[in-house]
Amino acid sequence: MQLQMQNISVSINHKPILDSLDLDVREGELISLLGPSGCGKSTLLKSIAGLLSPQAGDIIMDDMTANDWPANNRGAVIVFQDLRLFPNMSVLDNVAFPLKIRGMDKDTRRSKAAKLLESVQLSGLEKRKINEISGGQQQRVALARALAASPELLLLDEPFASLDDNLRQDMQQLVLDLHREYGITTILVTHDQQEALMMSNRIALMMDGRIVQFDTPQNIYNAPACKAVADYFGGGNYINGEVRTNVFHSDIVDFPTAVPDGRYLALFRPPALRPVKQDECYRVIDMKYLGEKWELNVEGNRRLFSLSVAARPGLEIGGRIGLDFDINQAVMIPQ
Amino acid sequence: MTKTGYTFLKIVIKLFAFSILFPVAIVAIWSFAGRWSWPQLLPETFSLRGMAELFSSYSGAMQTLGSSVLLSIMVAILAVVIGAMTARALVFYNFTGKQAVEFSAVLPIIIPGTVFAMGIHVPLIRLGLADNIYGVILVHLICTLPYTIKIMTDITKAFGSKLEEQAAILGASPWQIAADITLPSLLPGLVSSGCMAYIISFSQYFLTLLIGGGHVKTFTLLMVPYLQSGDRTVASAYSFVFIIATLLVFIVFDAAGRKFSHDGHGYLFT
Repeated sequence: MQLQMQNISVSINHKPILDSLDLDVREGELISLLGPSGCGKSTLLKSIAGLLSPQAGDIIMDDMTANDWPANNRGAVIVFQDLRLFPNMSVLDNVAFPLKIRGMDKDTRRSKAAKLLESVQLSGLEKRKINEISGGQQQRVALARALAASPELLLLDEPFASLDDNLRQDMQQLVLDLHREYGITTILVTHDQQEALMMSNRIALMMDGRIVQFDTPQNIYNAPACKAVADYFGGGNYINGEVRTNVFHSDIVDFPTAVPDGRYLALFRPPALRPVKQDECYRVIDMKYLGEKWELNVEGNRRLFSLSVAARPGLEIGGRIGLDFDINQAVMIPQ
Repeated sequence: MTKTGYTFLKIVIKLFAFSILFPVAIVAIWSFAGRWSWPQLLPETFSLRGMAELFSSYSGAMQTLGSSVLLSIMVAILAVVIGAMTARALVFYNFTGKQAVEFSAVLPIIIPGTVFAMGIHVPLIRLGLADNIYGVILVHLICTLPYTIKIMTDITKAFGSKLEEQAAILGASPWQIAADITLPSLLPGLVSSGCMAYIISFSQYFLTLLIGGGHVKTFTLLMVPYLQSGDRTVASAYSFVFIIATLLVFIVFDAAGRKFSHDGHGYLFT
């Protein structure tokens, strides 16, 4: 399904949650809706699925205005974070439920549900009750049940948030595999940057009820539209400056760049800075060992910088170093 | 649970069972007692006088029992349907006068039954609802609704709307949601509020007497004069039948609930 959200506004109890939001999802795409808790991600999903009616704006599904379509006719299925499995039904009956309400006869729907359970690697658990299987297994049941509804749009609301690391990786892979197999247009809500970068064709970063940037993972990481976007992906060392005739000028570092003239923030993420043994005008104030790397905080020019280096530097806290800015890794953020 | 805790629990359960079953046993024995004077542990003579009174055609007790059970089942069904719908409105929707509805739903519990009966009698006479079955059903409903509304409000609140939302986005129509998700989930509440409404209606004496005006006979109306007159044998026979009839109705309610639930479990008797 092709989905367009145009100028969507939603208020709940007079509190604005979504504010003139636009979103355009192409057929068969897997996009991530990324953003901090409370930014309106779940509200957006509910509006798409028809559980909430926006006060303003249009929801267009495959070129038809879907504003008034009831939730059961939209072909958009949400897998909620709390899964919402039916406790009065077995695993198999949960998965067969969407088939049952479509009038499929008992044998056909049971064999179809059993196949779906197989595709989420849950064969053998058909007769179990929902409370007799583990959290990870429940997640798979919810996914299989959503697929049974043959959705044209699959909405996943933080489906992996409650899983431990190993299970989460398995489920992420499963969702990617299923997306490849069924080609369903998918919106994945998450607050995990790595998950969004790894899984999606495009990422929509949401803040305060609006989408601040909607782009491919590479672009959103390497060319953030504003400082808030860069911050959300970890931030780093920002240097305020100005580009004039293809050269970035600041009080800390000057370098050539291809961006148009104007005021910019140059972002150097911690690995883009290297300690060197010349111009030692920075003082090491903190060193942290993080396994594969060391994180250093240094102070100088009335500024703080953070670096990340692979090997233990021959330094002590209080020692002095110089900084080398890797200008190839500089991210230019227009102001 | 520790072993002592378990033993303690077993003792408590046995005490509860005893405190219910012992009086019932005494009532059962009294129903067949001829002469049973103090301080005898058992009746001196047994007699079928109580049973004869009950099952004789002149007393009409069995016929009254039948119509009385039907009346109370009707009241219970109406009270459950209205209670469940009111509860749904109170839990899921905001409307003007919501608090007034919530408050007036508990009013019949606060106002003493006699005051309520005297008060409502005159309007019912004017409306032509006194001295007939419709008026009696109406007043029984008013007495039972606070309980069914309260029970169903709690159950509906606990159930929430999440599963209904989920069913809707999986493609279920409102009717399918009601049949497959909401009803099976609310059944325990529906069965227990139904039982509650039934027993309140079935044991109603003063309201039935006043509003029914003697035209509407219920089993309780026949039973109470015997309880007051001190004829223990006949009173006990009535009471015993009262208990058995109620138990049978509860079993029927439970079986009906079981039939509609997906997992085949009863709620009162497992």
